[in-house]
Amino acid sequence: MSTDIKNPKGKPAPWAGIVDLLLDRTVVLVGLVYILIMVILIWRQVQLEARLVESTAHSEAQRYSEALTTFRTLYTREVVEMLRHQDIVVTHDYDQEEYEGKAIPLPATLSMLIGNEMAKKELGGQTALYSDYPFPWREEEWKQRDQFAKDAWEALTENPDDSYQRFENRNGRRWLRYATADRMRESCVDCHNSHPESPKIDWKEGDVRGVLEVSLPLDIAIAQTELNLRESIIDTLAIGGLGLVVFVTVIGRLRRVSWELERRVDKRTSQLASAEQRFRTAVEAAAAAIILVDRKGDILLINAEAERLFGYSHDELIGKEIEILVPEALRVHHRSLRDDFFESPYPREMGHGRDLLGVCKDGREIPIEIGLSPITTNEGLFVLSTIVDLTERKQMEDELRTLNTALAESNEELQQFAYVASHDLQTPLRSIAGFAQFLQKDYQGKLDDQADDYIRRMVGGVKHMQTLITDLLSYSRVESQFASSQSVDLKEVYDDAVERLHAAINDTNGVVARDDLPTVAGDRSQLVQLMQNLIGNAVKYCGDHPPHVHVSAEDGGEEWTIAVRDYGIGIGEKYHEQIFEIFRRLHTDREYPGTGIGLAICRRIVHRHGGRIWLESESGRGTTFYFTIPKRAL
Amino acid sequence: MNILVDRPAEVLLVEDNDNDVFITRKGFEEAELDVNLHHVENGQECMRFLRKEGRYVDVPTPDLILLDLNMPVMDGREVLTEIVRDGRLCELPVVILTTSCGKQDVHDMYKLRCSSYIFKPVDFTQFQRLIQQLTDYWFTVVVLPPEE
Repeated sequence: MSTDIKNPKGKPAPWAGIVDLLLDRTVVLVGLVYILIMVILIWRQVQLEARLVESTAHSEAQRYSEALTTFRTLYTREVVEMLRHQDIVVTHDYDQEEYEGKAIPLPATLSMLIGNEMAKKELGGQTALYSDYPFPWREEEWKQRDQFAKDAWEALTENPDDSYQRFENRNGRRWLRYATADRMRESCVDCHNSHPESPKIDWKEGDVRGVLEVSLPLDIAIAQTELNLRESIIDTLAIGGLGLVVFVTVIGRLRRVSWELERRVDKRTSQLASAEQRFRTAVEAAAAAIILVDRKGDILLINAEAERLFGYSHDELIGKEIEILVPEALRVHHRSLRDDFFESPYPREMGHGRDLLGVCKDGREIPIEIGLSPITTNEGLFVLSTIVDLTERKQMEDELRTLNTALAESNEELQQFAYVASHDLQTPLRSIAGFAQFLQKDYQGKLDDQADDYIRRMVGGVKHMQTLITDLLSYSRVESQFASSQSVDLKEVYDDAVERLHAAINDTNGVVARDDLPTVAGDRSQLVQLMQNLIGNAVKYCGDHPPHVHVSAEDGGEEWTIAVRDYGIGIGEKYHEQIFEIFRRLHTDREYPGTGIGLAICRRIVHRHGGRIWLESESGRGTTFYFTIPKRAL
Repeated sequence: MNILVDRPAEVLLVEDNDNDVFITRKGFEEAELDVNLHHVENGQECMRFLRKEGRYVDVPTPDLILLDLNMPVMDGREVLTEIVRDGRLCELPVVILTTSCGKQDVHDMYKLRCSSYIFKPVDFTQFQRLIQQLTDYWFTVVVLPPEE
């Protein structure tokens, strides 16, 4: 992430770009190199101009020199040679009167003359012809020759085909002194060897007889060149400056573009950073342990819960292979499982329905459940594991199992108790009943009336006890003897119940009727008992007039509501709830004999079938008992 | 038709409770039936009686066994199991006469091929009526295994 987010809002000031430019080392370096190149270019130009001046001067001097030589040769061959034979004197002092106009200058003399004439022009060079073998009239001049003349003579006698030159400052002007060897030509040999004043008479063709020096002033050429150079430099500087401006503009523009990009990147980065922050916060806050793993199985991220669960610190896990948390025996297998997951990554759960273990830092193995989710990022495919600690759940399951076992045992004991009650309580009861009846039968009238009454009460008590035991057994059997749920036609149930109550109904001249009744899912014998108890109660508590009982059913959508309606003595409202409690009786045994278990059995049966039971009643106006049975299979 | 015209019917009562024995005996007496009621007080004695072992050498083979379920030493379930297994005894009709009305017991006894399962009523009058019906049925209606 860039640390340079000084001005994340708005554009930078225009000068800021330039300041930035100057601060940028690369730009400064490039600028310096550019300026250096400019300097080198200008320096090169100056150099080239100087060389041009010199080479121009050189070739001019060469042409000058060649022109003089050519002219002299021509003069010698075409003029001197012809006129020599017509008594024309050829001499250096041809303008002396003694020759009466019949004399012409020596070629060398003429050369000197021409040279001197040309030297009078501003641009003209000066010429000099000198020799180690001077004619007498020039001896003086030879003796006063300067160092260049000496050097040139020496160099050119050595290498007559070369030229010798040097630049010198003379009288405030810069000069090129250009010297070539003056060779003895065929047309000259005769004259020179025969001339009376000749200092040397054994000349051969090709001998170096002297040096022709042409001196050319350079200052005018230099001035011209400097003028050119100035313009050229101005041009160069203009181009360079323009280049610099373009360079700065382009760089500035690039900088702005890059600044804009940087700004966008910063913005996006900060967005990503806050998104990541949110992600991290969410992961940290998760109640489950979360571990992010990459394709190699290395841990990339864990949350606090994962640290807590496995007992490692953050740094101890990051970068480690996930198998550090897997029991050692399973590690190899886990790696292949992990590879499989990356081959076909889709969310799944591990350890569902079987015991999966994780290993803590202290070696403790804990039961866990793992959810795996593949996460595709631009860094590749990761897997996000959500790990839930099942230790508590396991403990609770164990506790629940223990409790269930205890409950089952308790139920078993209750069953046992019921059985004991059925057999062991009834056995002595039978004895009491039996012997009481023997007394009644065998000693009726033999004892006094009070004894007879005692015996009658004893027999009555025993019979009541017998009913109590039977009812209690029925009550306890509702749970234990619930047969598997089956389709039961309530019309048949009704018929069975009425059949069982036949005697009671007949005795009271009762009328029992029903509407159409549905078929439900349940335990047939229990439903018969339910119906029998409710109709039986209705018949029993009929009051002074014969009982009238009506059974109907209503479709409540998801359940059936069955109503058993009577027009009997009714039940006070405050008893509507407690009447379903076991042993709860609203009447004395003399009024209505009973055990107080019947409705408790009804409620148990209804609850066992997943329904509800209640009643609506007004004292003296009759009672309607309702119960529901869900339509779904039990 | 009474197949026992020439002799009284032999009934073996297997019952541990003295009172019950008394009441049953009284039931038979008052019904004025031609029945010899023999009594043993547990399953082990019952098997010795049936096999005529020890002091039971001279007893007759019963025509009907009235077997209680819950007894010390050897209970009715074991007795019935053993009778069914014994080739010489397996033809004997065995009526379970008990105060237990547990469904499981009823199922189990019929699975062991008991001849009938009867719940002892508490009321003596009912009981007496039951004994009357029982003897009528077994000794007048039913054809018992012929004597050898």
